[in-house]
Amino acid sequence: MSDYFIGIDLGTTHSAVYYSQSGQSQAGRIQQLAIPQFIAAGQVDSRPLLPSFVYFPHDTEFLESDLLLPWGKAHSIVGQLARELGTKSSGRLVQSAKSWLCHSRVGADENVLPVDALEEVEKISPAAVTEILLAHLVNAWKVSFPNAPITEQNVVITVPASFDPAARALTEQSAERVGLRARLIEEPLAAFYAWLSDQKNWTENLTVNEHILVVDVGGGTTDLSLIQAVEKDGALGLERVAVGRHILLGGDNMDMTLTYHLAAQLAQKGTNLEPWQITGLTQACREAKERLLSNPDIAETSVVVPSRGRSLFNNSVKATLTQADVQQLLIDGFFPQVQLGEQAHKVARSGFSTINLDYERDPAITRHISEFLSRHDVKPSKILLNGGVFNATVIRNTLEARLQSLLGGIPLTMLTPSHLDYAVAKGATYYAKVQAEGGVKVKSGLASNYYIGVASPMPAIPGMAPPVDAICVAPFGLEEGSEEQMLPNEFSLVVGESVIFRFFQSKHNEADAVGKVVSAFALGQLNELSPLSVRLDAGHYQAGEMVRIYLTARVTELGLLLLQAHDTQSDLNWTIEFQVREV
Amino acid sequence: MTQKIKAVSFVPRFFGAFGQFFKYMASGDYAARCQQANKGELFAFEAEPTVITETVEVIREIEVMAPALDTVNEDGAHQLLLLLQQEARFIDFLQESIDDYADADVGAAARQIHAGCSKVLTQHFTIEVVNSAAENSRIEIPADYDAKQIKLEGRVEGAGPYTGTLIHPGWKVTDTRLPKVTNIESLTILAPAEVEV
Repeated sequence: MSDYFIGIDLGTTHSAVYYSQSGQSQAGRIQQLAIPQFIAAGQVDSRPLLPSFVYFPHDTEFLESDLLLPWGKAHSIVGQLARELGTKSSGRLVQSAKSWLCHSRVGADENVLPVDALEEVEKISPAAVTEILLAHLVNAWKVSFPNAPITEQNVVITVPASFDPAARALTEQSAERVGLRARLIEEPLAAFYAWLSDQKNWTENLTVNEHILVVDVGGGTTDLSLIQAVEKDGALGLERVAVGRHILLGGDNMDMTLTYHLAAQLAQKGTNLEPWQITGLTQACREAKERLLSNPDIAETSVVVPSRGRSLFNNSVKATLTQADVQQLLIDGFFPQVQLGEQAHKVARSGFSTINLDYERDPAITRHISEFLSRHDVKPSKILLNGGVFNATVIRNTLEARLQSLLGGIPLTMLTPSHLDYAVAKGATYYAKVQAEGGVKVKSGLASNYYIGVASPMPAIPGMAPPVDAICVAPFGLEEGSEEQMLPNEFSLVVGESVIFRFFQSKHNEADAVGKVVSAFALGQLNELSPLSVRLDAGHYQAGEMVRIYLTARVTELGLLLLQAHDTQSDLNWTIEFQVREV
Repeated sequence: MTQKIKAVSFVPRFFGAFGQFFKYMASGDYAARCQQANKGELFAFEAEPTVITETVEVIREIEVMAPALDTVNEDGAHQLLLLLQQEARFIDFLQESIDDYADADVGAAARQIHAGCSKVLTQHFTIEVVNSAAENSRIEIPADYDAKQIKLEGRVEGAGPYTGTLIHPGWKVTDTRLPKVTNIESLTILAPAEVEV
């Protein structure tokens, strides 16, 4: 029996941990864990947030004694100091590792980070970075609660709703390697759980068949989810009916927008900024933005980047950010007026680009929302916002007005979020509690149909690979812990040899029947996920032999999609996990 | 010692006279002493002693505790300076003369320094007012007030309770959360020299 429920918000830019003691009546007793981290060489401070940054210091950069954390010597620096060091030294900092987990062209086990690594810095994989961050959080727990080992507690880790099964599996495996047996929950859903935990009686606020749109704008990502209130056995139930795609667009983009606006202004006057000045300018812009947005009466504020030398005034760069600029750049840039059905713009890419994250081309969050809503043909009547961006009343009101006009006048209610910055971790804790002690659950199965590619027989034609049909193996809405879904037909499977599995995901959210075939010519309807390259154990068969099998799919209790191939002739089973990804 | 000259009776005087004759004859010294006695000189022990009275001042020393002045922990002071420099470039600001710069420049810098310093304060200390009454309101102070927490000013007399105007509510630290340090040897380095290679 575990003593605590722990919610870990493994964010792109910040991580947070919340916990609550088991057995206590209802929520509200959900507390935040202070996370010890370096804030300067040899100085350890406990802070509520752990910046998700990892820095690999040079051998001579720190004294041995400067790298001591409460749980022992650190080999890499995680948190506040890592972020600060990264602004001054290049080639040693890893950031946004989480977004790499679902990169379409880079495997999560590929050693690619830091992207700009110096030669002597050993690159590591996105999965390994996730593990370092999780290990830090686990150690922080250990120090605060030495008598309640985290391995024995109920832990929930949040992931973006747009994470594909492979990215979820990788997060899960990283957690396992640091000794956690954690459930996963989608971030927008966690934010919704946080809202639920604040309600005395949530049914009063919702009516049957209405949709709630959750807009979660984090530092680096925007995540959309739709939740529907449904009637279930005469009572009101909740169902997560759709999730958006992975949008790499967030609050940091807004700060960068202001930075580049001012940098261009300065360049016109003949001042070209160096990289460190850009960093300083971004920091100063963030503060100026918060000041201007929190008080619309301020017409302008000066933005100063002091020199790096001892003088604050000599060689300092000064610019002025006006209220009009901020309103225009942020409101019109990120929250423009859009029509329902408008699609996000896709700017033509340059032929070659360096291997990096696929940042979003269209910064208009409202346009992404419109695309999402029209794809699922839903008009929500309630909106739940999450993310620090919405601390600014102007942005909150603008988004409300835009959505109001987008949806054409149906009455819209903004739900009051529990806490814009911490709701996700708090909601995850509440979810752990609900799982163990009961309470209202939001039914959330798979967010789309999943298909496996099967080569169809065809006479050999030179220069043409056999066409691949997609067969639905796991339907939309398949729930965790539900019964296995068995495919109606049998297949042959190559064992003992490295083979490639292709996976597809539907773009819509209407459940297909298990076994439904999407023919090779219609594959364009589907999104292809990264293929898996697996060598299945041959067992008593010859390597390379074709085995007759039937396929089953299920979602584990931890929320992972698992495909199993069962031999028709013997008891052999093969699990095809979404873990190995090859480019 | 008390010695007295006693009178000698006739018989010992008669026989002693013969002995004295020969002693007088044999010792010049003795003869000289007898001559002195004959002149009526008194022996030392017969003379009356002279008494001299003098008043002397005595200084008595009593041991009392010297006031102990404690030194506060310097490490904590260094650490606070380090934090202020790190977040707000506090030392840079104070070490530079601001006489030559325009008010607008100083103002713009002060805004950043203010933001940084207040971050340090809120992050590492919980600071509350000592007296939560509104400034300039009339408040009553009991006779047995704590002089550390409340400072009476103006015409302070009598035994109290006192009534007065709250000029400043005061500040107190209710919680301190300074970062832990791995070693305290290098705390005097408030900011390392930065060298870009």
